[in-house]
Amino acid sequence: MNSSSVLLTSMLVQMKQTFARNMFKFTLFVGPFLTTIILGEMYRHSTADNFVAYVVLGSGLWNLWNCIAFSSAGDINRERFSNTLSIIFSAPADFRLILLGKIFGNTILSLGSFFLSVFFAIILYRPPVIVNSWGLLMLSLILTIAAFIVMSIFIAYLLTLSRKTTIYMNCLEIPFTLICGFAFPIENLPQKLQYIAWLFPPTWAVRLLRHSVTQQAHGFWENFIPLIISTIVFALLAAWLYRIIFRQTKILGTLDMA
Amino acid sequence: MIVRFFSQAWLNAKVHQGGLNMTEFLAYKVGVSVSTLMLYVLIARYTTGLVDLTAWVVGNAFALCVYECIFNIGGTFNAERFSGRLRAIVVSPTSKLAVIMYNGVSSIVVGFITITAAFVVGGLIFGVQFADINIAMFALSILAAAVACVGLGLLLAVFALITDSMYLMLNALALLIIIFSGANFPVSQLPVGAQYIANIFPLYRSVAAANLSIGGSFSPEYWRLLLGEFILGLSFYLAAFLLIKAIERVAVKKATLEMF
Repeated sequence: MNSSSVLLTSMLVQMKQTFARNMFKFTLFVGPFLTTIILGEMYRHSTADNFVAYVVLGSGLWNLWNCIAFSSAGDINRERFSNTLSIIFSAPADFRLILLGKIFGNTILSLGSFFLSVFFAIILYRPPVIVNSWGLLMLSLILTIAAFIVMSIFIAYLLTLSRKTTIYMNCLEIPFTLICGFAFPIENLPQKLQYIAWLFPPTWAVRLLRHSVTQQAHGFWENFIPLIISTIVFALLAAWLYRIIFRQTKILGTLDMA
Repeated sequence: MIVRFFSQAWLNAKVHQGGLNMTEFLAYKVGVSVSTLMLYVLIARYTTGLVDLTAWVVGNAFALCVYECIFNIGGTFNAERFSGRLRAIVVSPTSKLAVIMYNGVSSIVVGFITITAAFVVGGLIFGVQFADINIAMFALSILAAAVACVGLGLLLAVFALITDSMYLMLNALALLIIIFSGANFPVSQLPVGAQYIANIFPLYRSVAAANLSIGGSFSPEYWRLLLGEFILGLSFYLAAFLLIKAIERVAVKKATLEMF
């Protein structure tokens, strides 16, 4: 089986399995509707500058992150509970490709939650949709998806060693939504948290997306360069982490410890 | 019977909390609660531009009840299903509501710790004037909120006998409770029909009562809200008590106990 077949098969199986889960149906359909209402109502009478930048994109990114945190990270746990983790880890097909296929599958489905949030926000609140540059918005969206995929791989590797993935999944959702500034500008955070936020690609991705809509969230290059650098750093960290985990799982033999 | 109840409650506490070391407990329980509170209060600060954020800190501290009471208590039978104990519980002569209740003891204790920690940390971060809060009124509001949330958790748990979609249901309800609680925006902003629906959700009255405790004193309005919340909570207990037998019968008849 060549690499592209492994990737494609893993992606398709993942999409079928994920879509069958009721919890994913919540994160895909129900969550976007309800979080859009929360954000929309909080922003309804606000003096904040742009409804589209914070409610439409904010709820979309919030839900995209939820899907990623609860799907890509949780998949390791699901494989462990169904006793297939050690099998896919030791199969002749590269574990990295299998995992990447899973993450691609999840990301494609998760984009549904992003677009549904945008749809709900526009239908419910009918904001004037003024986009500074559609081309820039598309480019920002592609870079955002790439950044989220890299974060997913990093998190999934990180959780391979642990048996407490459910706990860590829950620890990821809200804190990242908070410090990456999905729902408000990170300048609102205490200074020390802002330094932490700068380390993560989603922070810059959000700013780049907002810039493409409002042109107020600092310049394009100010966000584009840190986004590319932080994404590359996390990709390298993920590759390094894989080598460590590959070694550790063989030494400790903990893959099937549920 | 009381000794048995607490020994089972202790056993459940060890099952649910025993796997966490102190760092994980602080990160998972306290850290997530503090960040949830911070997230909503920071959105409120950005959208309103206000300096005094006491109402949001109070409201969102209450909203944290949802996570312990709704998810842990509401998910009791779901957890039992995953550990393969649900059939044994259903055929045993023990009261099924007691099973949910002793599971709820640790949730209430942990919930109290996390909510208090989140309120104090959030209060310090956002400069809440603790001296302005009428402690007796505030404590009674927390008690009312806990009674209502535990009651709803109890009622929801019953449905796990006939459905495999508990997580979908619990997550959706948790967000609905946050929307209808008025913790983040006034419920009067919602359509009129939705405002009526808010009346059957926990926290709607207790958050309003807690807000009256900021620089206020006991008033007829406060007692009306508090009484309403207690009655709502008791209605949930009653509904759970009335439904459990019927749902148990349906679950056995339709063989839904082991449905994943």
